Amino acid sequence: MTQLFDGNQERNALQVSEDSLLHLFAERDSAMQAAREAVRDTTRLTRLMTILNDTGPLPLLLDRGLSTLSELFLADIVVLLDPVGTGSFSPLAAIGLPEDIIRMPFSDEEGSYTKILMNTGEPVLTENVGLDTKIDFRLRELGVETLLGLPVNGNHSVRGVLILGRRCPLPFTEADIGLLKAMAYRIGRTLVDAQRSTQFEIIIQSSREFNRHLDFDAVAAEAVRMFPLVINADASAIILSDSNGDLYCAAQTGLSSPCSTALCQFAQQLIASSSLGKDESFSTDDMTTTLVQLSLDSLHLLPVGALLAVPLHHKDQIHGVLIGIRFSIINYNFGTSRIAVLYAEQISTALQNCRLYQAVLKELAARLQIEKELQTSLAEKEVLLREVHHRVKNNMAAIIGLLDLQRQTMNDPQTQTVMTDLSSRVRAMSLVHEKLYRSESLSKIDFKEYLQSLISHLRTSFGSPRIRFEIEAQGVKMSLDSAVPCGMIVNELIINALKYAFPSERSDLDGEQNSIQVAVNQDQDTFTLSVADNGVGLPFGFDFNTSTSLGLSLVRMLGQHQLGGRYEIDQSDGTRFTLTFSLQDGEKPYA
Amino acid sequence: MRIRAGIGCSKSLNDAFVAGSEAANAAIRDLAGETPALIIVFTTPRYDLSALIKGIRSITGSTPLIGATGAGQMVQGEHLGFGGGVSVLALTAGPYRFGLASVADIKGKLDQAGQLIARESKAEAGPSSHAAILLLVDSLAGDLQQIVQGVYRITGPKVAITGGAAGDELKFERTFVFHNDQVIEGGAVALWIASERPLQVVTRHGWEPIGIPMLVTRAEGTEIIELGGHPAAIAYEEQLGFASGQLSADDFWDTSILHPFGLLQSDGKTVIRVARSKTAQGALRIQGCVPPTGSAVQVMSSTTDALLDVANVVASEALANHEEAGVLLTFSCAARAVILGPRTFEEAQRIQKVAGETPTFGLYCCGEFARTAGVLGTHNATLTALAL
Repeated sequence: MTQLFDGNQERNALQVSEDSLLHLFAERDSAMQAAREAVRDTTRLTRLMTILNDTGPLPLLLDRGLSTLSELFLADIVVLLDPVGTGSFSPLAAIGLPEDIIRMPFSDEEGSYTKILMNTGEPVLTENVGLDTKIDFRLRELGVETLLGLPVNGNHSVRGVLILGRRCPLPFTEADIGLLKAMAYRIGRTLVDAQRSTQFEIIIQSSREFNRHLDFDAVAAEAVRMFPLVINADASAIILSDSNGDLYCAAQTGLSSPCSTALCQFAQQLIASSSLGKDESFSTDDMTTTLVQLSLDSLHLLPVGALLAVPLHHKDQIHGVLIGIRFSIINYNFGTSRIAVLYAEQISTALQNCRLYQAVLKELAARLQIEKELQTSLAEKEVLLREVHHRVKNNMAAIIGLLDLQRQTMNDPQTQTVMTDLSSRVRAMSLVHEKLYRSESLSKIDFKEYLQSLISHLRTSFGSPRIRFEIEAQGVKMSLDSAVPCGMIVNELIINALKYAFPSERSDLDGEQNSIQVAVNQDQDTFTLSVADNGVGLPFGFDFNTSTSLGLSLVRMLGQHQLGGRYEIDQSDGTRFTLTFSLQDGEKPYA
Repeated sequence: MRIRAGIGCSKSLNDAFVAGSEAANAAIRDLAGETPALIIVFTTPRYDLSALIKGIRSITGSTPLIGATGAGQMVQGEHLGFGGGVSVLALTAGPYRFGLASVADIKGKLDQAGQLIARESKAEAGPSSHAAILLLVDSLAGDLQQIVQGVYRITGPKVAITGGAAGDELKFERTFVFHNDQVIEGGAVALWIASERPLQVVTRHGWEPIGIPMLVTRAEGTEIIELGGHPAAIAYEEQLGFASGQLSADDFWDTSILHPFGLLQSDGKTVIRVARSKTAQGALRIQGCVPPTGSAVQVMSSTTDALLDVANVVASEALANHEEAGVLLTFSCAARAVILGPRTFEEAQRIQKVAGETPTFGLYCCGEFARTAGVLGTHNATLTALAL
């Protein structure tokens, strides 16, 4: 096999002197080396930018980005720490850390390179890792010999660390460091953008959640559940003021020890010392100094490394504090504090909604109470009314009894008949009251039932073994004002029929055919009442309007005057009285 | 306690079961009564592979077995080419503990597959101070760097990663790996070697750059679409002094196998990528692992002697890293065998010569695995070795 560059070009070169040839080769190699270096730098930048400009989930982008760094810089280990973003020194992404240690936090002790980098923002390069105790122990255990640590900047300060480790003594060059600084900066921008995007997504999501809750406990619980996700905290608590203005811990998460009182005191002091403005947060990663400034000492019981507090307010009044706590000493940056204020405003609105809802509930409860009282009162009145009807009926029954007793003491048949008629009239009225106090509504009676009872009594009183009664009044309901006159009209007309329509000689002949029909029809507000018999008919020349008998006078008065109705009398086959009347306005159901 | 290797081969293609049992029998016999703890099988795909494995297992019983088809084998200084038969390596445990795991249907989920077999094989082998992992993977599964990366997520940098992509004598149609009784198509198998001493993989390729460095300006799937903003095939031809379109699709392989791409590394070294074919649209289809967009590549060239020289270097370095080695495992590229042609046997001879009494056992693959620095561990046209 031959090399391709043993071609025409080299054969021509053989014709020149050896020195010239060597010179040409040297120049060619030099140019080639320069080209390789130029392309190498270009490829490193291009490949990383290609990945970081790509779209996709952040973990995927970081994984590809760190893999590319590993490949381009021959780094066996590449680790990205984002303590400001995540609140932890556990790797946000890593290549080369075995899975059993990849989640373990890196050392952030004072003097460690991680801490130095976070504090100074200056790159750290070490080529003797094995002896350097400032380096995290696991990197030493994995055999890293050369290490480069770079700051990853956020908007205003260092937010994380990018670490590259080689398991060989190959040092990182100045060119490497320059490129990697640029890449670390680009990664920082990506982290800032991604974090902001994630925070907004959580806020939008939590907004939907808050809208589902209208009680304080649920909003408070949701607030402390989501707040650590928004600001990457380990714990959170929400302190609210009650109706007396006293603060209480409405909910907390991530804190194992009982600390409500301490947090309330802390919140109280924050508000009292004006450390919290309406739209201003308070943050610290130096709790010792903060507690001294606030004249407190109780929070030292809590594992607070850094703390962010944001006000919950309505209009200009602060009525609570939302607190996020990191166990590690990694303070919150400005951007996250602003996001926290935004989140707190959402909670404030949700809490205000709760207040409004509670007020509505309170008002509704008062209305319900009034309604209940009204119903009770109504029930009492119903009982009372029922009792009144009952007593009226009893009184009338007593009157009937007295009339019957009186009748029995009289010998004159005509007087007895008068007494019987009188008793029957009272019974017709009494029956209405009886039906009323037994009815559900107390305002109307089933008129068919009433007629059945009335006719039953009349048959008993007057005897009518050969007369067939027909009642038609299905579904007709009548009020007291209509039922009493109607009942008395029917009472009079039936008595009249029983007395005169079927004389005894006719009864003997045609008893099976004798009948009395009572029908009541209702068409909306208009009633038609008819009482008919197939008897001998009215006497010749009878004039209903001028009749002086008490019974028919009552029929006329009650029908025409009290009910405002109109009579029709049909004598074509027996006798049929038909009364048509309309309910007066006062009786109309929805008048 | 040194590991002991027994090696047996059968060149008979007539009866797969018989060939398997013959080779296994010879390997076991070579152990001189010691108990095998692991069986490695490299073979041509021409056999009825189920029968072949049954034949081997009829001798080795339930001893854990791993293997693959390829494009030839190099065993004890001898080269078995296409259709060359089956080779069986029986290993005692020695100072090691072995764990095996496999996965089928890896296409489209190579990273997860790599994690899975690394995790499971590691668990089976148990904890140790050091380790190596031997991967055998279907060469047609896609970007094989992804499976290496998946494995690397589990191993970290202390564990040597070696192995190769299973082949089918350069037909690129169907390849197979073996795990105990299973013959797996489109899958991967891993052997975790738990060790109390460091194990190092060594790799060399023997290629030199001849063209100017170019940026891959567009790459998709298994293809380089553009180089330096030009259609990849045209740019490639230009680098070799050919007129645009001079290389036809049919004769492309004859040239590209002699002039692979070198993927530039930051230390000045190169990782080799072979263009297997040229598409009608002028893209270059890369075997195993495509340089991503933004990569810098150079066209490479070499000589037969230079390619063979790396055999000496790789074998001697691998054995220098492990003075008590009982076996030298090698993975060379099928492309190297094609280039070396009638001199291919010299590669096996050179390796064995350097190894001396230490048995050598190797496979010609379609992609070699050797992670030495950074995450990149997939190679073409390269020789890699691990001494145990």
